[in-house]
Formats: sequence, C-alpha cells, structure tokens
Amino acid sequence: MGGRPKIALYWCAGCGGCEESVIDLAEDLLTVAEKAEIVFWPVALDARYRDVAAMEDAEIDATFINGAIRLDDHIRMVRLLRKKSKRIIAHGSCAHMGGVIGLANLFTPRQLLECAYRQVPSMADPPGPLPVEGGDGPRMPELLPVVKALDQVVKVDAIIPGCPPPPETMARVIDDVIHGRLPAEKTVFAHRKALCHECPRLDSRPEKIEITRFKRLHQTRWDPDVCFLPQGLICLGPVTRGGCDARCIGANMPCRGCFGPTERMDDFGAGAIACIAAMMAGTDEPALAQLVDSIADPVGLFYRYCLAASVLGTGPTP
Amino acid sequence: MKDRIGVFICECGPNIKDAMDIPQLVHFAGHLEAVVLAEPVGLMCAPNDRKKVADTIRRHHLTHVVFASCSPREHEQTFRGVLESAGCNPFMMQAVNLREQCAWVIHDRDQATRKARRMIGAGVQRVRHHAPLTPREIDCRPDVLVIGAGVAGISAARTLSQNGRRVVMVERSACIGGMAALYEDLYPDFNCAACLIEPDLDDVLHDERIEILTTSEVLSVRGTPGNFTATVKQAAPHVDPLRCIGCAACIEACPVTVPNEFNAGMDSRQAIYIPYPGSLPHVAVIDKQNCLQFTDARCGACKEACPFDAVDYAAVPAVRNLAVGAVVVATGFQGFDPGRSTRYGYGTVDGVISAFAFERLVNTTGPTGGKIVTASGQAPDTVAFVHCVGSRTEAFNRFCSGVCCLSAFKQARQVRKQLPETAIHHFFADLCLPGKTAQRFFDGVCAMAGVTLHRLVHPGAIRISAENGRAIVRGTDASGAVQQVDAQLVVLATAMEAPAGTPQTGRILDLGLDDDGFFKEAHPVVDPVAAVREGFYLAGCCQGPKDIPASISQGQAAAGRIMQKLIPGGKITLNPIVARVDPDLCSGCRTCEALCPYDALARDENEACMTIEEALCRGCGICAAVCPGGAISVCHYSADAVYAEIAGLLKPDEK
Repeated sequence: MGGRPKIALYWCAGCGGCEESVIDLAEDLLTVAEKAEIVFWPVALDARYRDVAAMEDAEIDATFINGAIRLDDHIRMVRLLRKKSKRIIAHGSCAHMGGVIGLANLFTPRQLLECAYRQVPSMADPPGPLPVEGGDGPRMPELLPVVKALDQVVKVDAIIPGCPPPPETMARVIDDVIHGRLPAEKTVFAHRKALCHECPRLDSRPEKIEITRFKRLHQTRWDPDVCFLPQGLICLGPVTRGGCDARCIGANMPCRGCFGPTERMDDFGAGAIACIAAMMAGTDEPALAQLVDSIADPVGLFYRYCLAASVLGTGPTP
Repeated sequence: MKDRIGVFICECGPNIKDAMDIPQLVHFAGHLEAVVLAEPVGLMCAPNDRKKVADTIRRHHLTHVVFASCSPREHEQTFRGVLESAGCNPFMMQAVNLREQCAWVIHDRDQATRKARRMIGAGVQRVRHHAPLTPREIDCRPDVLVIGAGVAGISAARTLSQNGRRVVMVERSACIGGMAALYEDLYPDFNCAACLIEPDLDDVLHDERIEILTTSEVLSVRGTPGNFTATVKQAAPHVDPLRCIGCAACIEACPVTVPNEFNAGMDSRQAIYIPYPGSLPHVAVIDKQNCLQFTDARCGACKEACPFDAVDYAAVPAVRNLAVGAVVVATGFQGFDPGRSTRYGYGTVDGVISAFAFERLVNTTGPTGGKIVTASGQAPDTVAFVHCVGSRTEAFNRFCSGVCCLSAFKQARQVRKQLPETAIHHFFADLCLPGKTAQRFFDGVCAMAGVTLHRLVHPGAIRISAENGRAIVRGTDASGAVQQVDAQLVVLATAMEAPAGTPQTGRILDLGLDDDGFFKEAHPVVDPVAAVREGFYLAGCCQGPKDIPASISQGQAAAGRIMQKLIPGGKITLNPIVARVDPDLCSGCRTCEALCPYDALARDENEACMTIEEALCRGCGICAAVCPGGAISVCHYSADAVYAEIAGLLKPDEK
C-alpha cells in the first residue's frame, strides 16, 4: 500500500454541502479509498489534530479544505494542514471566498451571539447565557473578529468553486490526485469565461436591456427560455465564472454567483453592481434611486458568496 | 532589458520651483527603484530644454520617462514629442501634474513637497506598466454630410462642391430652400427672395457632386473625424421623383383637404400635394397621416389620375450608410408659437397672425396672391406689429432673436407700399438695430407717414383682445400710460427658436446644447463654427438666431473649415489608446455593447464574443469599467498601471 497518494479533507465553517459533494461520488468513493490513502477526514474517519501533527512536512499530497475561517481553531488546523500538504485546495465557495458564512461580517461577533442565543424567536427563555470564551478546562473555540476566506489565512494552490461544487468536478480533481497529477498553482477548476458563455439563454439576450422594475421570483412568472435580465430578474451570470454547466439556469433559476468572479475581477460584488446598474432604464435620479430601492437585500444578493473576500469584506487587515 | 527610468522635474519658472523643495524631490526620485536619473529642468516646454532632455534620454538609454511638470492637458503632447525626438516610443512616459495639482493648490512648502514626492512615486510606479503604442493610419474620407437644406446648408454644400467635394444633403421635408425660400422680399433692399435663392437651389439640384435626400433623417453618425459612417433613413417614396413632373393631376383628384402648413394654415392643400408653387424638387408628396390609402386603404384616386404612373403606395423606406469625413449641421429654426401665451390672442382673436404668416400673405405665391388682406378679404385700415413675441422673457426665451425688429420694419414697409392709407403701429420695449444698414432702414420707416411707435415698459406689457370683430392692442408704455390701438391685422414678430426636435438630434449626433436649446459651438468666441463634437460644424440658425447673410456666411465658413481639415488623399491618425477585448475571457454577455457611446462594440455571433472596431473606439473606458468578466482593458490604462499608480500614491512617506 506504500506508494498510494495521501489525501486529507477538512471542514471549517460551512453547511456540510461540500462534504456532501464528496459523498456524492457514491461507489466511486470506494475506488478513491482503494487508490489513495485518506489520512485525515474528520467527518468520516477517526483521526485527530495530533495525528496530523505527527506527519512529515508535505507528506500529504493534496488537502481539500471546505468552509470559511470563522474560529481560531480553523486557523490552527489549516496552518497545520498547509505545513503537512503539497497542495491545499480550497473546496467550495466558503473556502474560496468566505461563502454565505462571510455575510456574518456585516455584524460583530457579539451581535451574532446576541442574535443566535437571545433574539431568535425560537428561544424559549431569553435572556439566556452567551458562550464563554477562554477559562479553565475544555474551552469553546473563539469567534474571530471577521470571517475569512481560506487564502486570507494560508497560501491556496487551487480552487474548486461552487456551492456546492459539481460532483463531476470533484470526481475529476480527485481522479487527478490519485493518479499523481497534482493541480498546478493557481488552478481554478472552472472556465475562464463568465457563465453567459455557456448559458442556453444567451442568444435571447437583447443588445440593450432597460430594466424599469426589479422583480423577485415570487412576484412574477418568467419565460423559461429567455434571459432573466430583460425580464427584470437579476441574474449574476455575466459576472460569475462559468463551469457549473449552468445548473441553476437549467432548473429555471437565475445565477447567484457561487463560482465567484473571473480571474481579472477584483471585487465580485462591485462588478455585479456595475453590471446591473448599466441595465437600469432612465436618467432621472429620483426614479433611479427608487429603482435601486426595489432591489431587496443588495448585500445578500451581490455579495452572497464573496463578502469576506471582497475589498471591504474583512475590514482593516491586522 | 532592465527598466531605466528617468525623472525630469520642471521648475516651470517660479511656478513649481517656489512652491516646493526641488533638490529634495530630485534626491527622492533618484533613489526610487529602477530610476537611473533624476534632474531638475528650468522650463520643460521651452525648445532648448526639450532638446537638452531629449539628448539626456538618448545618452542614458532611458526606457521610461516621468515628466513632473504641468497638467497633461497642457503639455502631454509636447513631452511625447520629446520622447519621439529621442528615438523612444512616445507612450513610454507619464506626466505628473506638479503645477496644477500641487504647486498651485498647496501653499505650505513642506506639505507641497511631501505631496509631490508621492505623486512622483506614483508616476514612477505607473510608467513601468506602460507599453509602446503605435498609432494607426487610415485614409481620410473627403466627402461631407450636410444635415438640413436651408440657405445655410446649401451654401456649405455649394462651396464644398465648387471645390470638388462630394456632398450628401439630408433634408427632413420634401423640398429644399428652408424658410428663406418662402419669403417674398428680403431685407434690406427688397430683393425678391425667390430670384436670389432659386438659382442656387437649382444649381444644387443639378450638381452631380451633390446628392439630395429629401424626406430623410439621420439615424446615427458613428466614427471619428475623417472617418464617419452616417446612417440615413429615407421615407418611402410614394411618389417616384424620377417619374413625377409636378403636373398636379393627382392633386386635383385627391378628395382630402387639410390646412396648408406652408401658408401658416391660411389656406388648404390636399393629402397629395406640392409644398408650394416653385418648391424644389418640384414633385408631389403624399401626406400619409391624412391620405385615405394609408388610413383605410380604400382610396386610390391619385394613383389612377397620375399620367406617369409615379404613385406607388407599396414603396418602402430605405436605410443607407454614408461614408463621410465631416458633418455640417444646418437644421435651422422654428418660429415661436404665440399660442403658448394668452396675451397675444393668437388663435382666439381674428386678425392676429405670426410674422411667418405675414410673409406668406405678402408672397405672390401665397394664399392671397400677395394681397395684404384680413381673413374676410378686406384690406386692413390699421396694422399693428408687436415686437419681441416669445423673446427676452423668462417665460419662453431669454435671448433677443436679433432679426425680428428689422423683419417687422421690413413688413411695415411692405404694408405701406401696398396700402398707402393704412395706419401702422409698432409696439416694442427696445429696438435691436445692429449692423451697417439697420439704422438707416429704421429711419426710413420713421419717415413714412402714418407710422406710430409705442414704447412699452417691458416686452410683455401688452394684451390683445377681440372687440366688435377687431383686434384691440393695449400696451403699457414707459410712462405707465395705456396705449390702445384698434387694429384689423396684428403681426407678431416671433422669436427664432431651436426646432422642437433639437434635443433629440443632439442626442443622435452627440452634440451639446446651450442654455437656450441651440447647438453649442466648440468655443463661442474663437471657434463659433465647429460643434462640440470634433468633425461636426454648425451653420445657420441651429447655432443661434441669425439673418440670411449670416447663415450663408456660416455655411461657407463651415465648408472652409472642412476643406482645410479634410484633404483628399490624406491620412487620419487613429488614437492608439483604445479598448481591447480578451477573447479568452469575454463571455459575450453584451453588457458593454449598450453602453458604448460610439457604437464601437459588436458581437461576433459565431464566437459569442465581443469585438471592438478600433476606428470607432475613442478609449473612453466605459466598457472596460463595466465589463463584468474583466475581459476588456484600455491600452495605456491597464488595471495594473492604475493600481501601480494608486499604490505609489498611498505608499507611506519615508523620511
């Protein structure tokens, strides 16, 4: 068994969907286990921090890390994995850009705890106690002041984007690794062009789009064969890296940007806002302001997966 | 090759030298990464210093140069020339604006020096990202598009044609000659307008270098000076101008009667009509809004009546692209509609007419054959002229049209000539009598018997009402007294306004408007013929009210400017600072396409990728800024260069 490539998988702050994208390999997972040695995978195997710490540096061929960096424990763990791995692969939107978890950066950790432990309607007896940080004995991991993407903490060699990543992409990357083909630096397992290029509705997009009212999905019936944008539904396909095979579009849902920006875009949300603003009809300022106001939850829409990785997303770097 | 950057810091006489510590800046710049030389220069734009700097660039084999001096608007071209004379690509430099952005705005010497350090640092960081650019040359198109076939447009077209240029004239109406062709006698010598203008119109019609497109409109003009593509839509020719000889058989057959706008509604015309007697080209046109064929398709009277089979209801509009090098805009004016104010009784009081209607009334081809009569056909015993109608008022137009006083006095003399006994009254607040003939002309009017002048306290101090079938004009004079005249005919000297479609024309042609709604000149004093958009020229009243000779002069001046700029066989140098699409990154989403002000972007349907026509691109950067995929960048303004400059500005100052 000695020459088999070594693989590790780790789950930081995330929903578990990325782990699911591995489980979705189904029977192929058995082949993976046969051809590679999975040395660390807390969700499935009993291996601990100390086991990883005991490994040689760069002993692991490829480590897949999903989830955002939310806790001090995450930093400790990913730094250790960085040291022990030849390649670190950011797995899924949260590791890539902070993901939905990154929207927590709109609030302080204190506000988050207040909300989760005291203000949610399902809390029976407010005000209850808040988790205590530090102290003697076993301790709760500490919330970091802000959520970070993986590459804001350690060097990342490759990215598998998506929320969750397509199982085919996962299969391909794992297949490469078990056959000894480690990803080149800065590989993004997706297309270089934005999603529109592979969108089946591209040809229905008119030369000029003039949106007079932004609609939400529950407010309208839309033509399933026509580009969402001229129908007043915001779709972030023009801003989002392609490579997902337009899965959401195929399910008649507009793109929400989980694959992140293309390689030359610095701030996904700013690009998205510029793109949508360019389609707003008219020049009258008050009318435009009203039109802008009709966009529900703009941060949650334009920065849904990328706030932590955005220019303003983590606040000042320490 | 390693970067070898030179930094030249201009003292600009005392301008920069006195405002900051030049030796410190030279020392600072000299120690920046990749800088091999930093020097102060006395006056960078002076010929001897330019030569000295060019020699230094050559001697030290500099690869990049930073000129820390004045605004790039002032001397970027000069400094590019310095690089060229040193054998370098002119784009391998960065101008740092130490004068306007630092010396002139920061009065503390130490602060100014600190800011200058950052600015120089930013320029040095940026210039390393510059790449050599080579301007492309294309053939210049010597032909000219003239929009509007009034006297101004015609004078431009004739002048150009006389010099061998080909001209296409686009005219919205069915005939050429504009407003002037509808007048009878012209100020100041009572020359017959038709006699003066018609030979020119005939010339233009038969000039093989001039093509005239009537009932046509310009849809767009894309491109750059010397290389425009104009798209023109010509309305469907329901009467074939090559077959029609203007025999009027169709007109006699037409069952539809509508008011005749060419005679200010004082008589009527049919739905198929010839605009006015003597109109050129002398062919019939169909007014589709009123023609029964086009409303319920039942009538075909004119087609049946035409002996030459010239009527074709099925004709379709045509869209053409014209390759031209320059555009003359000569879209004329419209008379102020006095009905917009109730004080003049226009449309409600019998006998109140506009100055234009008077011109038609007195015209031998007009509704009365030139007889000055009231609507009931009588010669009026009293005629009142009201000046400044729609001019010099906050409510409508603030400007003085400058020609209406003289027009009103000319009309007064026309009245006197025809009706020696009729009383003539003028109501005005001030008189505008400019030029070398006006005062003498006015004195002549004053010398006529039966002319009374009423000086109003202000242009609007007047009201016209109907009493016993007559028009009563009441005005408050300068002393506060009310002057009342009981007239049978009241002529309103209306303001000359920009035509109602001017804002839209301005949008289509990308021409700015001034505060009064006329097309704006490149400079009101020193460049009154050029429009704001390069390669476009203004002629006649579309630029502001003026008389016929001034319109003709401006048309000729526009033609002269064009002949001076567009030399047949010449080349145009295209700005090399253009946007570029990276086909590996473009998703073909078309977000850029709708925003390009110059229509330079199109989609390659096979590749689903955008392409840029470089001859149309002006490097404004809108597409690059909006491209959601980061696929577009502008040469010379790459993201790397801009970020490097910002990083240089923000770099903490090391003391």
